[in-house]
Amino acid sequence: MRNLALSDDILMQIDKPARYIGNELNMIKKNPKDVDIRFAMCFPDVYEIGMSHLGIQILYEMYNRREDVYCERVYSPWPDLHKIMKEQNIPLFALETQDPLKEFDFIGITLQYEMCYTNILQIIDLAQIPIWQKDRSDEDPLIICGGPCTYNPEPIADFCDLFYIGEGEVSYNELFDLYKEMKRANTYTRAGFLREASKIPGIYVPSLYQVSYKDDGTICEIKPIYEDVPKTVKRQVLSDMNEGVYPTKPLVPFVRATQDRVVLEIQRGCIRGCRFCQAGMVYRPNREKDVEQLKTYAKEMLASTGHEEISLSSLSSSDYSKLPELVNFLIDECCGDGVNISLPSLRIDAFSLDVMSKVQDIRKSSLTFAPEAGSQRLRNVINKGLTKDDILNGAGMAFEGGWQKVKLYFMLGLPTETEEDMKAIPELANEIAVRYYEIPKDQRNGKCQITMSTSFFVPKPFTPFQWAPMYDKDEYLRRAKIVNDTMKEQLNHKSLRYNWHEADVTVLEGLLARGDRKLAQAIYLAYEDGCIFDAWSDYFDAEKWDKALDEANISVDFYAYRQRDLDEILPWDFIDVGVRKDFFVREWKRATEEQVVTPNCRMQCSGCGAASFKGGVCFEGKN
Amino acid sequence: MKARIKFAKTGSMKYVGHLDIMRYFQKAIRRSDLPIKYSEGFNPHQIMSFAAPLGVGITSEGEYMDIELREEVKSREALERLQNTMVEEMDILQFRYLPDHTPNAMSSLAAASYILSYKHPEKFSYTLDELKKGISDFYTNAKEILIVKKTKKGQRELDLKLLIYDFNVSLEDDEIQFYLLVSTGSVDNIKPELVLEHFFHFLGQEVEEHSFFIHRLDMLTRVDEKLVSLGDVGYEL
Repeated sequence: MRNLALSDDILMQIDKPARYIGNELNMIKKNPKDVDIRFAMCFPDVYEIGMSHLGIQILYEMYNRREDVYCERVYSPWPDLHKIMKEQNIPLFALETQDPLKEFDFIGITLQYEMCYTNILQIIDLAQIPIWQKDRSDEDPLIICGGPCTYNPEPIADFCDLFYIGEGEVSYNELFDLYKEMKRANTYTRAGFLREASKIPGIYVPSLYQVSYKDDGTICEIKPIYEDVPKTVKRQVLSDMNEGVYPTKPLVPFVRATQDRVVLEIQRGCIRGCRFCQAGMVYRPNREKDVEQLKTYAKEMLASTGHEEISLSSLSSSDYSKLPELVNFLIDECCGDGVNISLPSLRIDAFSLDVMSKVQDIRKSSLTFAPEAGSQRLRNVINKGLTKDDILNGAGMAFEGGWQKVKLYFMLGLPTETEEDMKAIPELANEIAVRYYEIPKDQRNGKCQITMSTSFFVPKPFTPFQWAPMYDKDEYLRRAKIVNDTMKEQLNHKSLRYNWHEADVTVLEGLLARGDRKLAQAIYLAYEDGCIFDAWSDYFDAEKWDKALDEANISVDFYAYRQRDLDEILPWDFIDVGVRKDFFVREWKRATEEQVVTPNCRMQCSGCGAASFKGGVCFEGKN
Repeated sequence: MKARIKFAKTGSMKYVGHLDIMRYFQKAIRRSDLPIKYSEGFNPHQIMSFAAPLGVGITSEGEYMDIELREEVKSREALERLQNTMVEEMDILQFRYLPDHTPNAMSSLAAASYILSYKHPEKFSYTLDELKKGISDFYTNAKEILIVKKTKKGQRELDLKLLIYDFNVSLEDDEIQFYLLVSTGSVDNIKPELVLEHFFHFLGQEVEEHSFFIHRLDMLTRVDEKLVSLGDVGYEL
């Protein structure tokens, strides 16, 4: 029998023990004695979520292609197991070999959302490694974080040894080579390694930077403590997407993962430039993958996994220039024999409706629009190109094709939002319903169902809205109430539905997203008080967080509710994502003062700075 | 064409639940590229049925599932194609074709055989002889073994004597092992640990949940009043 870290007694008393046994199809097996570097790749959330993440599968494949590296996986133990591991002092282990994490050289943690920060502490704590970076010794593993939240790593800087800023495909070999060489030459010390690593492009070593503050609490200066440590850390970008490694034999879990399907990444980055969207900014420039390569991958991956579904991954699939060719190939060559296509949210037009009618049951499926704001004025402010005509025409076409359900996504609390903008949300939904009832009775299928969902806007670093204020919980709920009340006044209110996101998580998310190093103490106190799985509403405990923020002297007002000055030094200003700050300033002004849209990257270059990466849309048609 | 696949699920795979095993096999069949039949409709699914779910924590060398194929594949080739796509601790043992009107494994299942052993031997002080005597008093020489079984609808009285077909104990490599052959299926489904629970109660010891390692040896059907392994039905091609 394969060796397991947990005893049978424990496995039999916890929920879904298969989360902790490894042995999934396509798992990489190596003898740890044959490698120089043991890497534990962690997604700090429950197994089913973590196993659905494409980025980890890419890095797992890439690292393991190196003979001298064995990359294994670890996910957050669910609270039932967490409790047992704490009580019985069981060290956290990796799934492949079931060996304790503390025996590894690196623990890599991907940061996909702010609400997983206490889970990072859980991982480090259960691994029996000192939680604070300053307390670690040469024998402890190095903790390196990557992923979207590293674009402001400061709130968790004191828990991590290194951050990798940008796309993992680029600089990891250099980092591994450096580590291996120092180990071989017997010159490895934690401090010595970190100092050298800080010179590798994209690597940020927080302990080598000092932050000083002004009297008002804002940052005075962020500077390296040594001359040879770079002042700015440049985001790493794979300029040619066709050169990246792709996991054509992805892991297939036993426990049903959230993404229980083949995922085909068709492009990175987005041409759109929505002003609230961090992904749309920090993954610039838009880079497409070769359609012929994607076709090969699709076939290979369906064969190697046996999945019954294939899905496309990208920020805006409709903008992929060869989309019709790819989708038609998938329908003709991959569908059938029980395999189907799950389409990402496509822009609703004749093409997407035609495709959807082929692969979905129209009567059950719904159309999705993400206008994000109810009024045209506010959609201009956020640079969302979608117009009311686009929505009504798209919905009209769909209704005539037999669809009855529409989902609409919006944000509340966007900069410059007025009561009129809020009311425009249900008014728009009502107009869509009106469009449905224009269809003669005998040609439609009963009532339509228009569902509006609102989340609350969270300003994120490296977006034109990074200076914007947030609102407190009561104000968010007041806005949601206006939407709800206005919905009830609509003529077709019986065909409308509305649900909104929780407000207290939103405020905390905003606080962590734009925080500085002072937040570390609050995160630590929250964890010590029992906060884990904050992204799960069943586990999120607002009172414990309030208490932790209070004890750590953190002012929510300062971090979240305040309008920041354009010339203020922001905690993440030392990172160079390629898109320049002056572009964000320009976009902020175009949004709030001129209230005009900026053309997308394919229509016209706005000189954001991403052309410095020498790839993708910035150079299309210019050779 | 109907086919019956016999497989083993051992080691750490015992922690993977039945629903996950079903999904695992759906994907495995697709990977093996066997020409399985799909149902009609908007969401076609593979024609596949399992003899009986195996509880989490139980290992087995006698699991069965029936499938339907669109065309014939030689037994040996089909077995190899499936076996090549298995993970560690899942093994395909047999691939046989069934005559057209053979009832499926689930509906023809009549009994299952098990080996059980102590998870914590230190909690049990009985000698082999004491256990042997116990079995003859509790089972072999008993006229009836009346128990109350909790069901979804409430409680029901059962005579275990009629539903236990064989019960003995032996010492293998210094380890006490119980062998049980019990009625299994949709009508009188007896879990082997239930028998041991009552047996130890009879001896004067209450046992907790999950006290035994359980290993299913085989599943059987009734042919002409005799119990026959589900794996002996049908033929190889």
